[in-house]
Amino acid sequence: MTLFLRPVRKALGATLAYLWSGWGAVASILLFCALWEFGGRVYGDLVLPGPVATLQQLSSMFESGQALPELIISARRTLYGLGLALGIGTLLGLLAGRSLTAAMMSRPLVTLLLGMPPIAWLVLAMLWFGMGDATPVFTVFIACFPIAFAGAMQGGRTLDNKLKDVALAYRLPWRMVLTDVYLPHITSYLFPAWITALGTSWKVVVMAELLTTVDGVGAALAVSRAQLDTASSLGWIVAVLGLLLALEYLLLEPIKRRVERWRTEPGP
Amino acid sequence: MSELHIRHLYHRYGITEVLADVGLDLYAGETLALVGPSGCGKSTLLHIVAGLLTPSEVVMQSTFRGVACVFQEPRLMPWKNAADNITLGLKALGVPKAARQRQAISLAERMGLSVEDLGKYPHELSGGMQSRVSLARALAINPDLLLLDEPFSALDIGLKGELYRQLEDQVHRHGTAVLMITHDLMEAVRLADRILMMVPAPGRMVYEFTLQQPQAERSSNWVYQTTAELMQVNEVRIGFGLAEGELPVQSSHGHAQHSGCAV
Amino acid sequence: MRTILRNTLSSAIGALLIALLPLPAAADAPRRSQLILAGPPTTVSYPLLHMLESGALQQLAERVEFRLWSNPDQLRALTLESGADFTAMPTNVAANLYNRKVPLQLVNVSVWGMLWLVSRNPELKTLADFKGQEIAVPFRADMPDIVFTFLAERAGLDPRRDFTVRYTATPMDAMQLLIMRRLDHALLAEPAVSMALRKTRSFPVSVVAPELYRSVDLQAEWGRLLQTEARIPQAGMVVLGAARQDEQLVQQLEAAYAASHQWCLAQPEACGELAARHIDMLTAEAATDSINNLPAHYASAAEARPELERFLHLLLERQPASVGGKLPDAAFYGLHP
Repeated sequence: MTLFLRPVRKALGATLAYLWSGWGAVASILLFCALWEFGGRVYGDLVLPGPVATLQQLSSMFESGQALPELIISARRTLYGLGLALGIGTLLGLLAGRSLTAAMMSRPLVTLLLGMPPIAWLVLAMLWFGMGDATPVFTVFIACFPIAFAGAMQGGRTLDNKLKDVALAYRLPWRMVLTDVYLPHITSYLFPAWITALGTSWKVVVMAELLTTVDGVGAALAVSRAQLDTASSLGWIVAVLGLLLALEYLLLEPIKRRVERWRTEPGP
Repeated sequence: MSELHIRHLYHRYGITEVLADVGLDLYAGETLALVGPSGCGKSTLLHIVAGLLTPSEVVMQSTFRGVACVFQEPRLMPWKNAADNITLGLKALGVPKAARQRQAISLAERMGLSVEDLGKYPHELSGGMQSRVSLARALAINPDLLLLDEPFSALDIGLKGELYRQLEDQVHRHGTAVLMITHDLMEAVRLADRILMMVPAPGRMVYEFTLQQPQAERSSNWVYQTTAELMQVNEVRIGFGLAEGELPVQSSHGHAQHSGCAV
Repeated sequence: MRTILRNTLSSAIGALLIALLPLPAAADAPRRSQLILAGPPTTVSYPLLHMLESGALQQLAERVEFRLWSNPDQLRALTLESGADFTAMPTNVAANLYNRKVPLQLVNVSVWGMLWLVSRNPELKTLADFKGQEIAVPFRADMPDIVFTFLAERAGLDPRRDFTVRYTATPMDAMQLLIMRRLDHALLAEPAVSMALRKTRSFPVSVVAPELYRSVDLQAEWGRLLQTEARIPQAGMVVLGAARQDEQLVQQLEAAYAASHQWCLAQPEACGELAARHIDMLTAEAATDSINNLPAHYASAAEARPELERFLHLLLERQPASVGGKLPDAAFYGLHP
């Protein structure tokens, strides 16, 4: 019994320590809220409602059952687009990392894709896919794919040759080379890329929904904007930001810390 | 009986000839030491035997089945703990987890590592411990042929002595053949059955010395004496730059270029 | 913060200058230095443009300017920073802003209907004819959507089951779907209706686009189904900020607007050309068409109040946020309670 409890206690202790260390982050967010409130006083409720008014509006949106369905719809689209981008981007990036030719050829393409504003793709996507889920999912995929690809390619290219030699010398089968040699090395390049991609994906989903769909957070934002309801607009934005922060700090960051236990210095 | 035969090994990097007409034989249970100054191509030769490098030309025949390498740096996978590093080769061979864990524990014992050390990551281990893990990794797959690339050069004398004993133990118990590179003549005299001297530009063999005393009977005194004798040999002195002179490039046998050398 | 400081500073400087200047012996009210008019690129702005060009306001101000607003954010900016004195806008937007404490007052309602169903099929004449069809509707949950849904229900149809409504973000998208034959019908507002019809009949779009026709006049349907006049009080002019206090100015502007409105109805071609000159998106022919299809009615805010309240009440029921959560009080119409 104690054998089972010990790792549980360790995990719990680590989680509490991590959450306690969040005081610094909380403090900086509160400072931002103070500035926001000040701005709200200066500009008035029509242009910039303060944080309290916004949070009140947000909680009433949740109570009336308005907020949750839209958030779920947007989250679903983000998940699909991001999942596709991360999966395909990582795989292709790894393959490109192994071959110098592929790496050289793909660099200008990646720069191109990264430089194109997602909104340009949006117009095309709407023509091809209409107004359903596919348009935002496609746009998210296009926006996040180069990020994942570049990260994975960098990771694939920078693997220490010495470790590659060890893999060769000990006759590791290709599947083991992938899982025991490449992937652990690459995750240290992937995680920052994935966190960036997560932030980008939400931004792009809301933008795509604002312009092309009838449901989801972006569409609700379009409606509240047309109705000059700034409090609701800000409420939606705060909801999305909250979700993003929660995902990053409660999900990704702990996973990252666990996966990178083998590093000498803890990452940023 | 397993054997390795190499004839007419040439290797070029671009236009530089790194190895020219190198040949050697290695038999099961034998320990062969390659010595020479830096740049003579001994590492390249080892990499070719290990299969990490494809030579420009060679006639090679090897009947050794399991080959294990120990490199100059420990080269442990930083994201695996010591136990997983040790059993890397075993995992590649498809050995199940429970058996791998047992092997890791027994090897750790042999190498003088504690059970706690097995759970640590390489960055938590000292240099000496990492070297031991590296050697354990090689011994774990019970190799026929052990390739050592100056693995003990960065260690202190006490640790060196310990690991020499482990190596001799392995050779004695399992009849493993060893091809080792060292720049320390005394180490070669201590451990090897035959010593091959190489010189650079182009990398080639110039001298072979067979040690008559069986391993078990080599006392410290004998080792010092024999090393001193070896240091007096002309080729050795010229090769290491201790004396002036030229070592001509000889062809390995009388014939000119031919194919299908009967090894 | 800077705005407050800037305003205080400019007021102080203004006061100082006025104190220093010799006062002219004025029989009428002194001329304002500038008068700013604003409006969207639709029919409701045409009289304002005429007022600008005809010089009808020269006695009222030295400099008269017209600013175009094309999205709610621009409108909001205009209302706040004293960006305009008189603005044309939809009536529900005016009520919304009023309820959100923007200082304004409705002056008149001059556009009494601009919603049409446009279709590839010239046979369809009433809403019931569209049963089972797919219709593109821009601006989900906004005024056109609400009116359409309401009229459909009044006609005995279930808008969710009897039609398939494809919401689009803007009228431009709806038009594109029509032109690309993805859809056969769309709900559009003037002058987009006239623009669509003119565009698809002229080269080069006519090569690929199908024939489009005006199908259902939603104003007429409104009149028919509610047993009332065939008109909907949809847009008018609003006075903002400090100009509200100047009653004489408001009256003069209203009179000028009414006169220009009459002129536009009487001279649609000239008015169309005028509009096209100021609004890039419009062509003169399309603007003229949009005037010809306008119910020729005009009312001041006080006169329009009963019909307007009925209209706003409908919007309030369906989408309270689109009018700001309640019906505006008497002061909105310039009346004292």
